[in-house]
Amino acid sequence: MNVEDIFYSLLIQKPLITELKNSSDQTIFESLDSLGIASNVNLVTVIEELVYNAREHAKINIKVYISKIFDSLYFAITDNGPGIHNTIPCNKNLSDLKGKSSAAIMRTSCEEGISGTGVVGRGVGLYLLSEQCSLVSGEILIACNGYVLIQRQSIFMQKKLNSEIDGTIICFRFPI
Amino acid sequence: MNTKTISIFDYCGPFCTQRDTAGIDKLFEILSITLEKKEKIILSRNNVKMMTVSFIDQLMVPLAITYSKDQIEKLIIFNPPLEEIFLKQIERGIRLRTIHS
Repeated sequence: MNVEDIFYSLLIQKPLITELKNSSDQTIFESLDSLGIASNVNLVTVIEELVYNAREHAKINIKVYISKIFDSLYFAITDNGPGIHNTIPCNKNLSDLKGKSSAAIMRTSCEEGISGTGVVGRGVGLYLLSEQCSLVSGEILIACNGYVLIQRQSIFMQKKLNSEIDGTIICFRFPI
Repeated sequence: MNTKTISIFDYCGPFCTQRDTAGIDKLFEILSITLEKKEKIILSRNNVKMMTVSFIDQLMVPLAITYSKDQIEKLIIFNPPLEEIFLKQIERGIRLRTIHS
């Protein structure tokens, strides 16, 4: 099962991985602990940074999904916020993103220090996700507006969806 | 010199996951005072269930910029020690703030 499978299952609201009852730290910790991976600081920080981003930028209807299947951890987070393509350009320091496509903005958002807040030194969530993906030979999928960005190991691909989606969907599969 | 030990859990609870985690400002203040006095302090991570890069960045990077990375490494001791992902973020945070200042 790859990240595209997870993504499409979320789109049709028949998720292939387990939805958590809420996106609180306690619930996430209990889920990771039950899977025996709560002590994996890299995974924990990647997951929590994505949740923090959603709480800060999206705020609306945040759902978290976590499952361990065979030797892989599957994670997804969805929200009905403004979307990365709208949030990142809010950073006035990133004026060269104006007019760029949603796909280009998503790709840029995985670079170090790219933040929708404009606060210098921030912008770790998607960067860490991308970095970890390369390190563990995983795969990630980021979708917003009508575009999907997929990273497998260190290679990026972009796809256009047939229709736009609300908010943002982020999925990953990391070997554990 | 007596080395003081303080518990991160006592100030911030079990989930040190956000830049605005309750208690982080107080913890920052304590560390600033300690660094001013050039005293060593041990930060116990006992009972902290989850910690993120953002939390460490918010707590440690401004201190590293003000007092130097060498000073904070010498005087602020985490127990257990910080994992590589956190150490890399301290370096990254210093670099990003220095570039943009």
